[in-house]
Amino acid sequence: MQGMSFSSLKRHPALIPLYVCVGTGCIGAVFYTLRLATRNPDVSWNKSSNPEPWNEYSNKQYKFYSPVRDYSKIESPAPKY
Amino acid sequence: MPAIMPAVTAASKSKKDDDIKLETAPFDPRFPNQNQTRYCYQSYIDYHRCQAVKGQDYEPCNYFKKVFLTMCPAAWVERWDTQIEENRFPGKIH
Repeated sequence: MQGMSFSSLKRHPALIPLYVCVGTGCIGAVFYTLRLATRNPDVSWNKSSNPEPWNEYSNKQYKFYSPVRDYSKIESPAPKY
Repeated sequence: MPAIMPAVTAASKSKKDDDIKLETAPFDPRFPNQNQTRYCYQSYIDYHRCQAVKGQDYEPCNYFKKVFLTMCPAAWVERWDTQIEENRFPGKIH
């Protein structure tokens, strides 16, 4: 098919924005899914070794953008026992 | 709507006697989103674990009690309390 190889793409340069947009979308989707799988505080891949995965977020930020509070100064208020 | 747990502090001599300081469960960065169900359940479990480890009279355990009484629906607290009494609570406490 035309446009699937580099040489035919040079002859149809209008396809380049299509590649850019679809590529960004795919990369974004894969990236976010992997981020959720590995970083989400509710996800635990090994329930016997990591039964409460949210505890590692007691002093750091998970949200991408959080203008409301400065997480660098935050510590979970729960007492340790 | 955030639940309120009233905490009556001793009024200083310059204030009116009926000043009540209202406060609620503090923000916990482990549960930063709108769904606070885990905060409720974790506090409930932490309270009973703290009591199991430190005994019934350990004061800092009451922090967890204040939090789960604020965050958890009363029906849940009642159900879990009944389950604990009947020794069939599903969470890990001991």
